Amino acid sequence: MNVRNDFPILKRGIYFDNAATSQKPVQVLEAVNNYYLNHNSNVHRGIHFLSEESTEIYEDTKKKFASFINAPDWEEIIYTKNATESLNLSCGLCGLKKGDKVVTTIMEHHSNFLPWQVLEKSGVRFEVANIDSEGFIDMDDLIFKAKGAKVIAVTHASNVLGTINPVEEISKISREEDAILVVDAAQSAPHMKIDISKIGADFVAFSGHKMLAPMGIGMLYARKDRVADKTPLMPGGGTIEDVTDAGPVWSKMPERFEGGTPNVGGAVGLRAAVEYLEKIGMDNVRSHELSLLKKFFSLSPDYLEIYGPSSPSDRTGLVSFNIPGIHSHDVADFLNGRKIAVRSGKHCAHPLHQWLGIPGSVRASFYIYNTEEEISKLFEALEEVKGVFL
Amino acid sequence: VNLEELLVVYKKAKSLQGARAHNQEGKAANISCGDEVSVFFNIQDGIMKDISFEVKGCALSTSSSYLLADKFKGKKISVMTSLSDDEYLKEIGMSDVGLSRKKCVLTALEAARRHA
Repeated sequence: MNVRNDFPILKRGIYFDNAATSQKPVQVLEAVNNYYLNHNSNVHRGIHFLSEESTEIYEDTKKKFASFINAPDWEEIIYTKNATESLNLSCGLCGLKKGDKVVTTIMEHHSNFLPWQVLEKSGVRFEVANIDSEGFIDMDDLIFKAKGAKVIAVTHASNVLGTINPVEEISKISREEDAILVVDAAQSAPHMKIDISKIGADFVAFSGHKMLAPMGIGMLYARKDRVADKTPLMPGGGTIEDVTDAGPVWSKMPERFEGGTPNVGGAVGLRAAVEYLEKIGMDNVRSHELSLLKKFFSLSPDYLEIYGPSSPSDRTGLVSFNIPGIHSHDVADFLNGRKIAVRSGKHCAHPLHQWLGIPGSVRASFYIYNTEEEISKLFEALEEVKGVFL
Repeated sequence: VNLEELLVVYKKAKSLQGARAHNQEGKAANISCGDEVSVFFNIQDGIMKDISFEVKGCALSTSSSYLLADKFKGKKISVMTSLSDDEYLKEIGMSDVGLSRKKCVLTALEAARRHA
């Protein structure tokens, strides 16, 4: 994939920490720059030319993103600051009460675990579905625990195991139970084609910065008929049509849920990122990452303990692993000395690491600009790690 | 921290770790990465006659536990526990440790501060 010239930062070393955040191509940075230099103004406020222009640009970024994920209506896209906020907003809009049940899974990132777990203090029943030894959701357990649930919250792809979950199947389960389905797509949307209409979820959370956009822009797809009449969780500027002594008249979606001045520059960056990905084609992004995964697995020595599905086709482009006897931080630190950036630790998934029975793992996560040669260099360095520490 | 020097200390620390006779001990954990450090003191007349340690953790938390035992053996415990984090890092020769790994190096000191 001939994109490396668009990412000057790659000259600094091998970047395998894409599941934490992706690098940004010059096209995205130029788009943000151009917005602030030539169009900057607050949106939905003034009637002057710049405000109108800015509002138009802002709404167009949503139309672009809605089309990218095949959402039926761009007004169902709410901007947040990140996927964590998107998931917390979903949680708030679900309005769970004492006695209601929510089901999630043991493989969730904390951002799709904690918002639900803390509700236990309010009397909400919190259930966690198990996974099997390959890192797939135990569907029988999920179906059992989902009986009578009001919400099912599940990640589309694990940020540790890489597992791509069968969200369409889980969507059927949620419909049978008349439960709200919340999907965390932070780790899937950057790497594969997302089709909201096919998934059939009520809420889908996205992260901009993991898919080439700047940090500070997150997205939430929220089904209109589920939330259109809900009270805003962050009332303020932009969320009202009118305020009188009698109370507020709330705005329509999506402004209703976007209190305060939004991150218009971030939204512009997101649009440029989506255009960039569309130009490559999400199918090509996926096949490139599959090639990298196959290379990784073909070079992987027996001593490497790999977590998650054994078949690359069941994974997004990341692999978490350990060299038994060597702490994950020591591996990452050594690789850092070879200018190879990987993640180590628990990756904001403590429950999953407890389940795996390990204190942490090393994660190499790939994206469009990574190469098979870089993976070879990773394994050369891992051989050195083994020689030095064991 | 120079890797070659660190590895020499790490290998030595791994071979030496284990509790010896003691009358006080302290424990600390670095929850985010699961590391656990125990430091054992044999204190006579206010002096740390012997310091031993047990570590379940990375090379830095293991090495720094050894360095703590090596540098402060024979001194009053207050000499060690009254040091600030930065003074302690300087004392054990690890003041150039990166921000992300500072906690690894300080876990042994945290354990020592909790001694009883």
